[in-house]
Amino acid sequence: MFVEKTAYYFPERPIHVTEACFENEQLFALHQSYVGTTVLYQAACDQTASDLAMNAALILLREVDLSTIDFLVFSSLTRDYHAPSTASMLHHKLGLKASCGVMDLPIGCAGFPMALMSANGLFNTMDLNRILILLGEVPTRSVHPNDPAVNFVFGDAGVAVLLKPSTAALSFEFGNDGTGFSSLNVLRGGARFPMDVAYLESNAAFPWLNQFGQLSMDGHGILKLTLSHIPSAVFSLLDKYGFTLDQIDHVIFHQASTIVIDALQRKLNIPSHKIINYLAEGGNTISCSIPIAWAKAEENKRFKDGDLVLIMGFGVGFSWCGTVLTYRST
Amino acid sequence: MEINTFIAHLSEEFEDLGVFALSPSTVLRDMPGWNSMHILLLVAMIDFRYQVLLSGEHLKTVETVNDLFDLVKQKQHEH
Repeated sequence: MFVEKTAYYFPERPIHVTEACFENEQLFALHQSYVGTTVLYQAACDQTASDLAMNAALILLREVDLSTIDFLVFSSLTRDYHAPSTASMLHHKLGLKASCGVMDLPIGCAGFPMALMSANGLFNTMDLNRILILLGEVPTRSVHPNDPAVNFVFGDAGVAVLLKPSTAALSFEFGNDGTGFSSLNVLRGGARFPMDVAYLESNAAFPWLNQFGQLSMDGHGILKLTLSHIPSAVFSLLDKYGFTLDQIDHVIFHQASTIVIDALQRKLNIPSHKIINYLAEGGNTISCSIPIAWAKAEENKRFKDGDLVLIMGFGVGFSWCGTVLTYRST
Repeated sequence: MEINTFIAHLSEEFEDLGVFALSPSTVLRDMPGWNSMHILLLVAMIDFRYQVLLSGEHLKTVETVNDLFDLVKQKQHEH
Protein backbone atom coordinates (compact mmCIF):
# COMPACT_ATOMS: atom_id res chain seq x y z
CA MET A 1 0.00 0.00 0.00
CA PHE A 2 1.23 3.51 -0.71
CA VAL A 3 -0.05 7.10 -0.55
CA GLU A 4 -1.02 8.12 -4.05
CA LYS A 5 -2.24 11.66 -3.39
CA THR A 6 -3.09 13.95 -0.51
CA ALA A 7 -5.04 17.20 -0.18
CA TYR A 8 -5.85 19.35 2.81
CA TYR A 9 -8.27 22.14 3.47
CA PHE A 10 -8.10 24.86 6.10
CA PRO A 11 -11.28 26.84 6.80
CA GLU A 12 -11.30 30.43 5.63
CA ARG A 13 -11.22 32.08 9.05
CA PRO A 14 -7.58 32.47 10.20
CA ILE A 15 -6.68 33.19 13.82
CA HIS A 16 -3.29 34.90 13.87
CA VAL A 17 -1.34 34.04 17.00
CA THR A 18 0.20 37.39 17.92
CA GLU A 19 1.46 39.11 21.04
CA ALA A 20 -2.01 40.64 21.44
CA CYS A 21 -3.37 37.14 22.18
CA PHE A 22 -1.32 36.91 25.38
CA GLU A 23 -1.10 38.78 28.66
CA ASN A 24 2.48 39.82 28.03
CA GLU A 25 5.41 39.58 25.64
CA GLN A 26 7.07 36.81 27.63
CA LEU A 27 4.04 34.49 27.46
CA PHE A 28 3.89 35.09 23.72
CA ALA A 29 7.62 34.23 23.39
CA LEU A 30 7.09 31.04 25.40
CA HIS A 31 4.18 30.09 23.18
CA GLN A 32 6.25 30.68 20.04
CA SER A 33 9.13 28.54 21.34
CA TYR A 34 7.22 25.67 22.88
CA VAL A 35 3.82 25.44 21.20
CA GLY A 36 4.95 26.83 17.86
CA THR A 37 1.71 27.96 16.20
CA THR A 38 1.56 31.26 14.27
CA VAL A 39 -1.74 30.85 12.46
CA LEU A 40 -4.69 28.58 13.18
CA TYR A 41 -7.89 28.19 11.23
CA GLN A 42 -11.38 28.10 12.63
CA ALA A 43 -14.36 26.51 10.94
CA ALA A 44 -17.48 28.66 10.47
CA CYS A 45 -20.32 27.98 12.93
CA ASP A 46 -22.27 26.01 10.35
CA GLN A 47 -19.27 23.97 9.12
CA THR A 48 -18.80 20.49 10.54
CA ALA A 49 -15.66 18.34 10.48
CA SER A 50 -17.12 16.41 7.55
CA ASP A 51 -17.60 19.66 5.57
CA LEU A 52 -13.85 20.33 5.95
CA ALA A 53 -13.04 16.76 4.89
CA MET A 54 -15.45 17.10 1.95
CA ASN A 55 -13.65 20.27 0.75
CA ALA A 56 -10.33 18.40 0.88
CA ALA A 57 -11.92 15.48 -0.99
CA LEU A 58 -13.17 17.78 -3.75
CA ILE A 59 -9.58 19.04 -4.26
CA LEU A 60 -8.13 15.51 -4.18
CA LEU A 61 -10.63 13.79 -6.44
CA ARG A 62 -10.74 16.31 -9.32
CA GLU A 63 -9.12 13.93 -11.78
CA VAL A 64 -9.87 10.62 -10.10
CA ASP A 65 -12.26 8.03 -11.53
CA LEU A 66 -14.62 7.61 -8.56
CA SER A 67 -15.54 4.07 -9.62
CA THR A 68 -12.00 2.99 -8.63
CA ILE A 69 -12.66 3.84 -4.95
CA ASP A 70 -13.65 0.66 -3.14
CA PHE A 71 -13.66 1.81 0.48
CA LEU A 72 -13.99 5.07 2.43
CA VAL A 73 -12.67 5.56 5.98
CA PHE A 74 -13.60 8.77 7.80
CA SER A 75 -11.61 9.72 10.88
CA SER A 76 -12.87 12.43 13.24
CA LEU A 77 -13.62 13.05 16.90
CA THR A 78 -16.66 15.11 15.93
CA ARG A 79 -18.96 13.16 13.66
CA ASP A 80 -22.06 14.74 12.17
CA TYR A 81 -24.59 12.37 13.77
CA HIS A 82 -24.71 9.58 16.31
CA ALA A 83 -26.16 7.60 13.41
CA PRO A 84 -25.69 6.99 10.55
CA SER A 85 -21.93 7.03 10.16
CA THR A 86 -20.53 10.25 8.72
CA ALA A 87 -18.60 8.15 6.19
CA SER A 88 -21.95 6.94 4.86
CA MET A 89 -23.09 10.52 4.31
CA LEU A 90 -19.76 11.54 2.70
CA HIS A 91 -20.04 8.49 0.43
CA HIS A 92 -23.42 9.77 -0.75
CA LYS A 93 -22.29 13.38 -1.19
CA LEU A 94 -19.24 12.34 -3.22
CA GLY A 95 -21.31 10.02 -5.38
CA LEU A 96 -19.23 6.92 -4.66
CA LYS A 97 -20.48 3.61 -5.99
CA ALA A 98 -22.79 1.41 -3.90
CA SER A 99 -20.17 -1.35 -3.65
CA CYS A 100 -17.74 1.08 -1.91
CA GLY A 101 -17.73 0.27 1.81
CA VAL A 102 -17.66 2.88 4.59
CA MET A 103 -16.39 3.15 8.17
CA ASP A 104 -15.97 5.89 10.80
CA LEU A 105 -12.94 5.93 13.09
CA PRO A 106 -13.48 8.31 16.02
CA ILE A 107 -9.94 7.86 17.36
CA GLY A 108 -8.26 11.26 17.69
CA CYS A 109 -4.59 12.02 17.26
CA ALA A 110 -3.66 8.46 16.22
CA GLY A 111 -6.57 8.41 13.73
CA PHE A 112 -4.55 8.69 10.52
CA PRO A 113 -2.15 5.78 11.14
CA MET A 114 -5.12 3.71 12.40
CA ALA A 115 -7.02 4.51 9.19
CA LEU A 116 -3.91 3.42 7.25
CA MET A 117 -3.78 0.22 9.29
CA SER A 118 -7.46 -0.51 8.48
CA ALA A 119 -6.84 0.20 4.80
CA ASN A 120 -3.76 -2.02 4.79
CA GLY A 121 -5.80 -4.87 6.28
CA LEU A 122 -8.47 -4.43 3.58
CA PHE A 123 -5.89 -4.35 0.78
CA ASN A 124 -4.23 -7.48 2.18
CA THR A 125 -7.45 -9.48 2.33
CA MET A 126 -9.32 -8.25 -0.75
CA ASP A 127 -8.63 -7.21 -4.28
CA LEU A 128 -9.34 -3.46 -3.99
CA ASN A 129 -8.28 -0.67 -6.37
CA ARG A 130 -8.23 2.38 -4.14
CA ILE A 131 -9.15 3.35 -0.59
CA LEU A 132 -10.07 6.92 0.30
CA ILE A 133 -9.27 8.24 3.78
CA LEU A 134 -11.06 11.42 4.80
CA LEU A 135 -10.24 13.21 8.03
CA GLY A 136 -11.87 16.25 9.58
CA GLU A 137 -11.47 17.91 12.95
CA VAL A 138 -12.95 21.02 14.60
CA PRO A 139 -11.12 21.15 17.97
CA THR A 140 -11.51 24.96 18.22
CA ARG A 141 -15.16 24.28 19.00
CA SER A 142 -14.16 22.59 22.25
CA VAL A 143 -11.65 25.22 23.40
CA HIS A 144 -12.60 27.38 26.39
CA PRO A 145 -11.16 30.87 25.80
CA ASN A 146 -10.01 31.14 29.44
CA ASP A 147 -8.05 27.87 29.49
CA PRO A 148 -4.38 28.64 28.71
CA ALA A 149 -3.54 24.92 28.34
CA VAL A 150 -5.57 24.61 25.14
CA ASN A 151 -5.72 28.13 23.72
CA PHE A 152 -3.88 28.81 20.45
CA VAL A 153 -2.78 25.18 20.25
CA PHE A 154 -5.54 23.54 18.18
CA GLY A 155 -6.83 24.32 14.71
CA ASP A 156 -9.58 23.00 12.44
CA ALA A 157 -8.83 21.20 9.18
CA GLY A 158 -9.91 18.61 6.66
CA VAL A 159 -7.74 16.10 4.82
CA ALA A 160 -8.21 13.60 1.98
CA VAL A 161 -5.75 10.81 1.20
CA LEU A 162 -5.93 8.32 -1.63
CA LEU A 163 -4.26 4.93 -1.17
CA LYS A 164 -3.32 2.26 -3.68
CA PRO A 165 -2.18 -1.30 -3.10
CA SER A 166 1.40 -2.39 -3.70
CA THR A 167 3.48 -5.47 -3.05
CA ALA A 168 5.37 -3.72 -0.22
CA ALA A 169 4.25 -5.16 3.13
CA LEU A 170 3.57 -2.63 5.87
CA SER A 171 3.92 -3.17 9.60
CA PHE A 172 2.21 -1.17 12.31
CA GLU A 173 2.94 -0.52 15.95
CA PHE A 174 0.00 0.41 18.16
CA GLY A 175 -1.09 0.50 21.75
CA ASN A 176 -3.20 2.11 24.42
CA ASP A 177 -2.83 3.29 28.04
CA GLY A 178 -6.25 4.02 29.50
CA THR A 179 -4.75 5.92 32.45
CA GLY A 180 -4.49 8.74 29.90
CA PHE A 181 -8.24 9.34 30.29
CA SER A 182 -7.69 12.04 32.88
CA SER A 183 -4.96 13.83 30.90
CA LEU A 184 -6.96 14.65 27.77
CA ASN A 185 -10.71 14.39 27.36
CA VAL A 186 -13.99 15.94 26.27
CA LEU A 187 -16.52 14.55 28.72
CA ARG A 188 -19.83 16.16 27.83
CA GLY A 189 -22.26 15.12 25.18
CA GLY A 190 -21.75 11.35 25.22
CA ALA A 191 -23.76 8.65 26.98
CA ARG A 192 -21.88 8.92 30.30
CA PHE A 193 -22.23 12.67 30.81
CA PRO A 194 -25.00 14.03 28.58
CA MET A 195 -25.35 17.78 28.13
CA ASP A 196 -27.74 18.91 30.86
CA VAL A 197 -29.39 22.25 31.47
CA ALA A 198 -26.83 23.28 34.10
CA TYR A 199 -23.95 22.56 31.72
CA LEU A 200 -25.62 24.34 28.81
CA GLU A 201 -26.38 27.38 30.96
CA SER A 202 -22.84 27.52 32.33
CA ASN A 203 -21.61 28.08 28.77
CA ALA A 204 -24.02 30.89 27.92
CA ALA A 205 -21.02 33.09 27.05
CA PHE A 206 -19.24 30.31 25.10
CA PRO A 207 -22.09 28.67 23.17
CA TRP A 208 -19.76 26.70 20.86
CA LEU A 209 -18.83 24.52 23.88
CA ASN A 210 -22.40 23.23 23.86
CA GLN A 211 -21.91 21.43 20.57
CA PHE A 212 -19.23 18.86 21.44
CA GLY A 213 -18.31 19.65 25.05
CA GLN A 214 -15.18 21.24 26.48
CA LEU A 215 -11.67 19.98 25.85
CA SER A 216 -9.61 19.48 28.98
CA MET A 217 -5.87 18.86 28.78
CA ASP A 218 -3.17 18.29 31.38
CA GLY A 219 -0.02 19.07 29.38
CA HIS A 220 2.28 17.49 31.96
CA GLY A 221 0.24 14.26 32.01
CA ILE A 222 0.25 14.01 28.20
CA LEU A 223 3.99 14.72 27.98
CA LYS A 224 4.67 12.00 30.56
CA LEU A 225 2.51 9.46 28.67
CA THR A 226 4.21 10.43 25.41
CA LEU A 227 7.71 10.04 26.82
CA SER A 228 6.86 6.74 28.53
CA HIS A 229 5.27 5.05 25.49
CA ILE A 230 6.31 6.64 22.21
CA PRO A 231 10.11 6.15 22.15
CA SER A 232 9.71 2.41 22.84
CA ALA A 233 6.88 2.24 20.26
CA VAL A 234 9.20 3.81 17.66
CA PHE A 235 11.89 1.21 18.41
CA SER A 236 9.39 -1.69 18.27
CA LEU A 237 8.13 -0.39 14.94
CA LEU A 238 11.67 -0.18 13.55
CA ASP A 239 12.33 -3.74 14.81
CA LYS A 240 9.32 -5.01 12.85
CA TYR A 241 10.88 -3.62 9.66
CA GLY A 242 14.45 -4.50 10.59
CA PHE A 243 15.41 -0.84 10.20
CA THR A 244 17.51 1.41 12.38
CA LEU A 245 16.61 5.08 12.84
CA ASP A 246 19.60 5.95 10.62
CA GLN A 247 17.84 4.33 7.66
CA ILE A 248 14.70 6.45 8.12
CA ASP A 249 14.71 9.64 6.01
CA HIS A 250 11.88 11.57 7.70
CA VAL A 251 9.92 11.37 10.93
CA ILE A 252 6.42 12.80 11.27
CA PHE A 253 5.15 12.73 14.83
CA HIS A 254 1.61 13.87 15.55
CA GLN A 255 1.95 17.65 15.49
CA ALA A 256 1.02 18.04 19.16
CA SER A 257 3.26 20.97 20.09
CA THR A 258 6.89 21.86 19.52
CA ILE A 259 7.79 20.96 23.12
CA VAL A 260 6.48 17.39 22.62
CA ILE A 261 8.12 16.93 19.21
CA ASP A 262 11.44 18.33 20.51
CA ALA A 263 11.37 16.09 23.60
CA LEU A 264 10.84 12.98 21.42
CA GLN A 265 13.50 14.07 18.98
CA ARG A 266 16.03 14.52 21.77
CA LYS A 267 15.15 11.25 23.53
CA LEU A 268 15.35 9.27 20.29
CA ASN A 269 18.42 11.20 19.10
CA ILE A 270 16.90 12.00 15.70
CA PRO A 271 18.80 14.59 13.60
CA SER A 272 16.77 17.83 13.21
CA HIS A 273 16.65 17.66 9.42
CA LYS A 274 14.65 14.43 9.62
CA ILE A 275 11.93 15.91 11.79
CA ILE A 276 8.88 17.26 9.98
CA ASN A 277 7.29 20.08 12.00
CA TYR A 278 4.63 22.22 10.35
CA LEU A 279 2.86 23.33 13.52
CA ALA A 280 3.35 27.00 12.66
CA GLU A 281 0.62 27.02 10.05
CA GLY A 282 -2.53 25.27 11.21
CA GLY A 283 -1.43 24.05 14.66
CA ASN A 284 -2.51 20.78 16.24
CA THR A 285 -5.30 19.50 13.99
CA ILE A 286 -5.81 16.13 15.80
CA SER A 287 -6.01 13.30 13.23
CA CYS A 288 -5.34 15.70 10.34
CA SER A 289 -1.92 16.75 11.65
CA ILE A 290 0.21 13.93 10.21
CA PRO A 291 -1.20 13.93 6.67
CA ILE A 292 -1.05 17.77 6.58
CA ALA A 293 2.64 17.62 7.60
CA TRP A 294 3.16 14.94 4.92
CA ALA A 295 1.47 17.13 2.26
CA LYS A 296 3.45 20.22 3.27
CA ALA A 297 6.74 18.29 3.24
CA GLU A 298 5.82 17.13 -0.26
CA GLU A 299 4.93 20.71 -1.34
CA ASN A 300 8.28 21.87 -0.01
CA LYS A 301 10.06 19.11 -1.95
CA ARG A 302 11.49 17.47 1.14
CA PHE A 303 10.61 13.95 -0.02
CA LYS A 304 12.48 12.02 -2.74
CA ASP A 305 11.13 8.94 -4.45
CA GLY A 306 11.83 5.93 -2.23
CA ASP A 307 12.34 7.93 0.99
CA LEU A 308 11.30 6.12 4.15
CA VAL A 309 8.90 8.17 6.26
CA LEU A 310 8.15 7.06 9.80
CA ILE A 311 4.83 8.34 11.09
CA MET A 312 3.65 8.04 14.68
CA GLY A 313 0.30 9.33 15.90
CA PHE A 314 -0.44 9.57 19.62
CA GLY A 315 -2.73 11.40 21.98
CA VAL A 316 -6.20 11.22 23.45
CA GLY A 317 -6.77 7.80 25.00
CA PHE A 318 -3.81 7.61 25.53
CA SER A 319 -3.59 5.78 22.20
CA TRP A 320 -0.87 5.48 19.63
CA CYS A 321 -0.25 3.98 16.22
CA GLY A 322 2.60 4.26 13.73
CA THR A 323 4.04 2.83 10.56
CA VAL A 324 6.80 3.39 8.00
CA LEU A 325 5.70 4.46 4.52
CA THR A 326 7.83 4.58 1.39
CA TYR A 327 7.30 7.85 -0.46
CA ARG A 328 6.31 7.55 -4.11
CA SER A 329 6.23 10.62 -6.32
CA THR A 330 3.29 10.48 -8.71
CA MET B 1 25.20 12.95 40.35
CA GLU B 2 26.33 16.43 41.33
CA ILE B 3 24.02 19.31 42.14
CA ASN B 4 26.20 21.70 40.11
CA THR B 5 25.78 19.59 36.99
CA PHE B 6 22.06 19.34 37.72
CA ILE B 7 21.84 23.13 38.01
CA ALA B 8 23.78 23.54 34.75
CA HIS B 9 21.29 21.22 33.01
CA LEU B 10 18.35 23.18 34.45
CA SER B 11 19.85 26.54 33.44
CA GLU B 12 20.34 25.30 29.90
CA GLU B 13 16.66 24.41 29.75
CA PHE B 14 15.52 27.74 31.17
CA GLU B 15 17.54 29.95 28.82
CA ASP B 16 14.47 32.03 28.05
CA LEU B 17 14.28 33.11 31.70
CA GLY B 18 17.41 35.19 31.01
CA VAL B 19 20.53 35.45 33.14
CA PHE B 20 18.75 34.42 36.32
CA ALA B 21 21.31 32.60 38.49
CA LEU B 22 19.98 29.32 39.87
CA SER B 23 21.16 28.05 43.23
CA PRO B 24 20.10 25.05 45.33
CA SER B 25 17.79 27.29 47.37
CA THR B 26 16.08 28.92 44.37
CA VAL B 27 12.32 28.45 44.67
CA LEU B 28 11.26 27.29 41.21
CA ARG B 29 7.89 28.96 41.04
CA ASP B 30 9.32 32.27 42.26
CA MET B 31 11.68 32.56 39.31
CA PRO B 32 10.78 35.62 37.23
CA GLY B 33 8.83 34.50 34.18
CA TRP B 34 8.11 31.03 35.60
CA ASN B 35 5.25 29.38 33.74
CA SER B 36 3.62 25.95 33.60
CA MET B 37 5.53 25.47 30.33
CA HIS B 38 8.77 25.34 32.35
CA ILE B 39 7.45 22.30 34.21
CA LEU B 40 7.15 20.50 30.86
CA LEU B 41 10.69 21.55 29.94
CA LEU B 42 12.14 20.26 33.18
CA VAL B 43 10.15 17.00 33.03
CA ALA B 44 11.48 16.35 29.50
CA MET B 45 15.05 17.28 30.51
CA ILE B 46 15.03 15.08 33.63
CA ASP B 47 13.64 12.14 31.61
CA PHE B 48 16.31 12.63 28.94
CA ARG B 49 19.33 13.16 31.22
CA TYR B 50 18.37 11.18 34.32
CA GLN B 51 15.87 8.58 33.00
CA VAL B 52 13.29 9.62 35.58
CA LEU B 53 9.76 10.57 34.48
CA LEU B 54 8.23 12.83 37.11
CA SER B 55 4.47 13.04 37.55
CA GLY B 56 2.45 16.02 38.73
CA GLU B 57 2.01 14.20 42.05
CA HIS B 58 5.81 13.98 42.52
CA LEU B 59 6.32 17.65 41.73
CA LYS B 60 3.75 18.79 44.31
CA THR B 61 6.35 18.25 47.04
CA VAL B 62 9.03 20.26 45.22
CA GLU B 63 9.73 23.86 46.19
CA THR B 64 13.41 24.49 45.54
CA VAL B 65 16.04 23.37 43.06
CA ASN B 66 17.52 21.25 45.85
CA ASP B 67 14.15 19.54 46.49
CA LEU B 68 13.99 18.65 42.81
CA PHE B 69 17.56 17.34 42.86
CA ASP B 70 16.77 15.14 45.89
CA LEU B 71 13.58 13.84 44.25
CA VAL B 72 15.43 12.88 41.05
CA LYS B 73 18.15 11.13 43.09
CA GLN B 74 15.53 9.25 45.11
CA LYS B 75 13.65 8.16 41.95
CA GLN B 76 16.90 7.00 40.37
CA HIS B 77 17.53 4.76 43.39
CA GLU B 78 14.01 3.32 43.19
CA HIS B 79 14.71 2.10 39.63
